[in-house]
Amino acid sequence: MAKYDKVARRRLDRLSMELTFPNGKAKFLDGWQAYANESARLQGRVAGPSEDASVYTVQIRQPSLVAAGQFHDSWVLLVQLNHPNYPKEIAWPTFVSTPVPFNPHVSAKSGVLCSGNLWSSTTTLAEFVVKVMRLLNLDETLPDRESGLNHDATRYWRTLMAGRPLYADLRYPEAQRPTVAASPEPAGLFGTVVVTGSTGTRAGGQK
Amino acid sequence: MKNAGTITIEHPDVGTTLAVPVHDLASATPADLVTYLTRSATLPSPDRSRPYELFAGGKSLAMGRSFVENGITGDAHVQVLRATHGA
Repeated sequence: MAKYDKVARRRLDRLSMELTFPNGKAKFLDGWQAYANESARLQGRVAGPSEDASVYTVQIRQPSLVAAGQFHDSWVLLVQLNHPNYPKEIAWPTFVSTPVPFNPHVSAKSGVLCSGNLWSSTTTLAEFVVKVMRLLNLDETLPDRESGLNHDATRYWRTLMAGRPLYADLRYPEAQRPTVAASPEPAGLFGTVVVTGSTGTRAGGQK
Repeated sequence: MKNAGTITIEHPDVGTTLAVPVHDLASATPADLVTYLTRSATLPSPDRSRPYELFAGGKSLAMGRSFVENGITGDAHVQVLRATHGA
């Protein structure tokens, strides 16, 4: 894929974050930052609104396990949109705060999150973050065997929690998909563009 | 009489689908649509050596002819690709 296409796709991901988490805050979210690349993140140089950003840190505030029966509620997730196959794939996201979640999908040693089923080429970054929130709440289908990056967590979830979520009544933020303003419009021929995934397309409204 | 419809545009590289209401399919051309979408930065700008091509039902659309002349008189699904050779 041409590099330019990836820039356009990253712009869509950033727009999704701005729409879903305006001012950087929302339920279960303390904030998020965008950086041009990993080097910029390490130097603390936040990307400007129009700058191409391939690295994000997301501060999630939501209770989840750090060990059997022990809770913590503050996490920092690092997401990098610079995989050679982006947007089909992203680098494995990592919890860079400590302690790391005691979760079937999270390595206890490295904080790496196995995001295989959470990301696809049509997933926006905001949708991905909401899926991570569900995952932190163990709000998903129990696998039929010990799997994932933390078998102890899977076993705990299966045997002591019977595969149920930590909190059954949590309501997650609703990820917003960007719409693009209908300007400039040649000869009044077109209406508002709606950006959707490759499936479940919905039409934009007539002006 | 105007024909209106919604053109959904699948962009496999970017991984998104765009839904664009077209008010007059007899006047608008695929070229107009590409211009509209690139000006609003919804699609990356094509370069001269690799212009966009639009396909509907496996058939390439004539960029300078209206959607109606291309056989599209209502809602339609279109794929956007970039040509591999020069224009």
